Amino acid sequence: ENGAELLFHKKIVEGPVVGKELPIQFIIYNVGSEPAYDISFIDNDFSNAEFEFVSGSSEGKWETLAPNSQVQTNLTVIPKKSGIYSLTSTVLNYRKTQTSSEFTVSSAASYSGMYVESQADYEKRTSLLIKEWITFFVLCAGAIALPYSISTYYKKNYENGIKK
Amino acid sequence: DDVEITDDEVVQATPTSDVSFSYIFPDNQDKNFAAGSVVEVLVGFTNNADKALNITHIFASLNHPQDFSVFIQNYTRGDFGIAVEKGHHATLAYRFVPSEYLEPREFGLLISLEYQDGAQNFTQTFFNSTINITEKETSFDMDSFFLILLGLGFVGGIGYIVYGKMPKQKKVRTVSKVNKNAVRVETEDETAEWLSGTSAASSKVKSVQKVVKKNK
Repeated sequence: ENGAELLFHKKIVEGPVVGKELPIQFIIYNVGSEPAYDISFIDNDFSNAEFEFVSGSSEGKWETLAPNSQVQTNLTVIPKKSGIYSLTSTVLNYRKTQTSSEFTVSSAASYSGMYVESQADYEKRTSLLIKEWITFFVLCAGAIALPYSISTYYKKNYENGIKK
Repeated sequence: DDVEITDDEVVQATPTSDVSFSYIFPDNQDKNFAAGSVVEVLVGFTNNADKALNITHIFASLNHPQDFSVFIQNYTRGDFGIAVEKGHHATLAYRFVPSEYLEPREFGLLISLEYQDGAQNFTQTFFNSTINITEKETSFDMDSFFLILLGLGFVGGIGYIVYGKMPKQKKVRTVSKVNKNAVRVETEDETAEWLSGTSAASSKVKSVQKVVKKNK
């Protein structure tokens, strides 16, 4: 079947964390042999009170998309609460030919949901554990310094096992 | 029926032919996959049937490039459960990771999609072609690290052997010096003792002679 063939991908780039910016990409690939016309989509998954809008747009409109090319729009939000969120299949409308009055419906169905991680869990998972390492080295230094000081004392104050 | 034929896909009877597929590897459009890195394939599924279809699974396997019946690696089956209405189109993403221990060469890759129409299950392989596994570009390689460590150990061993020969010579000299000192000290002590004595003259003379003999 010749004509435009759009693949629509709603991509969550990083793992969602509360209070951390979450980039979302809407990427459209034309893998067909003809241009696509009047491309448009609207996504409503992140336009609610649980997400703070930062930048970008959750909808897109393009006049045409050439074959073997791609176009992309970005959206950045900040999740406010941890938990499981449902994601819908974002609907993409386009026309396969310039004169066609019929719209083809496509959808980005890659994700059915996502888990927003709490800040504590995220820090527990990714922390460099600086405090823990410092504590470890301090205790190691203590465990070495005490025997060393005792040994040094004996070297200074005892000669051949007899106190000076 | 209008059926999109992907590579060597064989067209089957209705209702399987009521679907068409398209795909793209967004990050590997040249089909070169680095071993050990995530590969993502976007699958386009068009429902040309008279009823809704439900996409249930996507799964993939790596096979021998000349004999696709030889399986080299199976990848985790992806669960979806996406309903596609009549005349609609859906795009799904499937990710897998080729093992980092694969040799860099050509492999056969099969990616299949399972769907059902409520009564029957269907499986369609929409990608059936050879791909190229390349070596992963990494700035720091653990193998190289241990190789360098082995080299350092070898050099250290040689250094230890070379250094081990020199102290022996020094030790010999030290021993000889110590012996000489001891002899001299004894001689002086004996002389002093006899000289300091004042009890008997004859005994003195005899003692002196004895000392001389001992020295000789």
